[in-house]
Amino acid sequence: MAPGASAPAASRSEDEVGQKIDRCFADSLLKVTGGVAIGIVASVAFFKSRSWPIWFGSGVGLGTGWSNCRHDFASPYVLHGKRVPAGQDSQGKPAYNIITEQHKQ
Amino acid sequence: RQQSNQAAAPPKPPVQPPKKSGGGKGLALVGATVVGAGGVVGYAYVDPEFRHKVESTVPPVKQVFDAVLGESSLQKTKQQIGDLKDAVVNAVPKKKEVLPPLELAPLPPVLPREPTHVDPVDVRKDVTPMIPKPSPDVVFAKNQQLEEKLKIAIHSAEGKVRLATEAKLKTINAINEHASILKQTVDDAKHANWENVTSALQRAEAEARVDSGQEVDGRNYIDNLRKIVNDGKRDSTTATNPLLLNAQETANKLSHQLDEINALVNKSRQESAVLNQYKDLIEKSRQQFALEMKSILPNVDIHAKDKNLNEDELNALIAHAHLKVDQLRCQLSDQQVREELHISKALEEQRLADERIASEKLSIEMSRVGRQNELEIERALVESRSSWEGELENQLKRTASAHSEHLEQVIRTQRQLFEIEQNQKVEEAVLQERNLHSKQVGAALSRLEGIEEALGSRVALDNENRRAKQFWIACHNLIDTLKHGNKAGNNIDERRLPLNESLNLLKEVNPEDEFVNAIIDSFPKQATTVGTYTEQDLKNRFEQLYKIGRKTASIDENGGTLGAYFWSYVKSLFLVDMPQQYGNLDAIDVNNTDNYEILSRAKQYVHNGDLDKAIRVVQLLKGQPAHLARDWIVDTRSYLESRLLAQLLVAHAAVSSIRSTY
Repeated sequence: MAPGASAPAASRSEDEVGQKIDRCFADSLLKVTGGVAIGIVASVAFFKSRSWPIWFGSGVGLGTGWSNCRHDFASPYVLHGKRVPAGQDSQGKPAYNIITEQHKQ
Repeated sequence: RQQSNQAAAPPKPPVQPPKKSGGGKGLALVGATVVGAGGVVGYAYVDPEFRHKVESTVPPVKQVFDAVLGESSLQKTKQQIGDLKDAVVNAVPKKKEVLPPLELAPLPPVLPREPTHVDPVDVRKDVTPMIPKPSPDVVFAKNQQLEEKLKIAIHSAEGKVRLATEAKLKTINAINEHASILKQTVDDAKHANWENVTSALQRAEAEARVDSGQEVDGRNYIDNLRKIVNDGKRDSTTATNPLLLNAQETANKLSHQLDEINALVNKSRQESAVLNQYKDLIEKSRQQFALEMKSILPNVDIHAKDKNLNEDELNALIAHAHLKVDQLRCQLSDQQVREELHISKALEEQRLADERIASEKLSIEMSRVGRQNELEIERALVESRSSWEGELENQLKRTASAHSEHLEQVIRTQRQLFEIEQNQKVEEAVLQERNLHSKQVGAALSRLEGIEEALGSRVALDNENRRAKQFWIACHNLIDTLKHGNKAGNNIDERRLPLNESLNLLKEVNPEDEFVNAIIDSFPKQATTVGTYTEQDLKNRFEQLYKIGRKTASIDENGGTLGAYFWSYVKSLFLVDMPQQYGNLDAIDVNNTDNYEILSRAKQYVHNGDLDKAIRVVQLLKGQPAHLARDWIVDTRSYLESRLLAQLLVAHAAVSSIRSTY
């Protein structure tokens, strides 16, 4: 992983817990927002503008976020990464490179 | 051989033990003897030398041996060896006798050096210091002088002789004239003019006086010439002058000329003397006639012309004339007879005169021929002398050259010998000198080498010292770089500075130093490529680690639930890290220490700048904090490694600087 020194945010091990918390909040926020959005749409479309679908959606989002976060904290050796499209393979399907999150050696 | 003999002898005793065999002692004895004898014979068969020895010590055994083993092979071999030896001696010794002289022969390789440069000129010069000849210049000058003299003398002599000759001719003319005048006068008595005769005579006499004077003069000059010639001949330097002979010849010729002209003068004189006689005779006859006339006619003057004679007188005269005529006739006849006598006498006289003249001429001729001969002889003498001299000179030259050649040869051989000797001596001396010289030079060279080495080492030391100092400075720079990184960097990563450049510089400075190279090569990869974190950054990161570590101190390696994390966080809030002094030598009980204590210990160490100990302690963390601390440990370790290596380099630089100081 030495050549990857150019990567700007090479994470250091002592920052791991902070990063995990960040990820938790970001993920939970996304989930809650998604749940709220689905709840709003559902309440408008199916439930005659009742409010509970919204609460339910946000609850589901919160719960999903919590669960993800719990898993994250409970498995310290999981590596986090990105899929980066890298052209196409021989069968015309899009190919991806998996780039793990930079980690200090 | 003797040893082998002795070795051979022992076998006997072991054979003898059969004696012990109890009962048949005699049998055993005989058996032992037989066995011993058999052993001896067998050994003798195997070793001819042994056999020979036995034969010489116990002669009778020989027969036994001969009977048992046949002719001694030793003898045969000996004979064979003898034959062989003879053959070899016949073949070889000749060569060997011939060889020694061959070895002697190439003793002195008569170094064919330069074929002895003997200039023969020197030698010949020594040989031919002959009669000291006057220099050719002097000879030439003398000859020149002589020739000059001779020429003048010849010239004057010739002039004088010519004058004398002319005078003589004049005299002869005068005499002839006188004679003719006399004859005329005598013949023509009536018109006789005696004065003419007298004057002619006087003239002739005067001429004769003059010519005699001239002649004497001429002869004097000729004598002078001769004297000069003689002088020239007497002088050795001019004796061979060809002009001398010519001059002599000329002198002879001139004197001969004078003699001849003298003879002519004498001849004309004689003729004139005859005429004088004629005159005297006529005078005498006239006087006689007058006397007769007087005696007949004493009174008559016959000279009186116009006087008439009488008859008597005339008769007397006629008678007398008759008488006279008779007498004259008689006289004539008588005279005629006498004339014959006279003629014969005159002839005789003439003959005598002729003879005299002839003899005179002869003598003159003789003297001339004699002189000529003398001259010829002299010339031949000169010629032969010159040829002889030439021959002699040639011979002398030849002998001289032969002598010089001989001398040359002798000198050459002597010189060669001398040269050989000299060469040997010189070579020896040169060898000795060269040895000495080479020894001295070797000593000097070695000393010089030592000095050079010392100087070189000193210079090298100087260089090394300077380089070590610079190196030391560079190493300190390196440590500085390590500690502070890129001071212009704004964040923790920008402050990292790769050491590649400075390390390469160090490598270039000390390319041959194995130690430095090894150290530089062993710098951790991270430090050289990316750079280590600065010390302060590492300390800051530890602060972070400390905080997080305390918060997650209760979580184990496999993580925990969110609740566990929360609980750990709450726990850390309530646990206060009391400032505590940990000793450096405190023993840490690995099993009983918790993360809090470890972190507080590490914190103290980091605070004191002792990252080494901090790492050691941090490595004891367990659970989540250990997980969190691993990057810090790695980074710090590489920093410490680099720092240690840099310090090593500094130490090395200091040591080499001290080592190279004098």
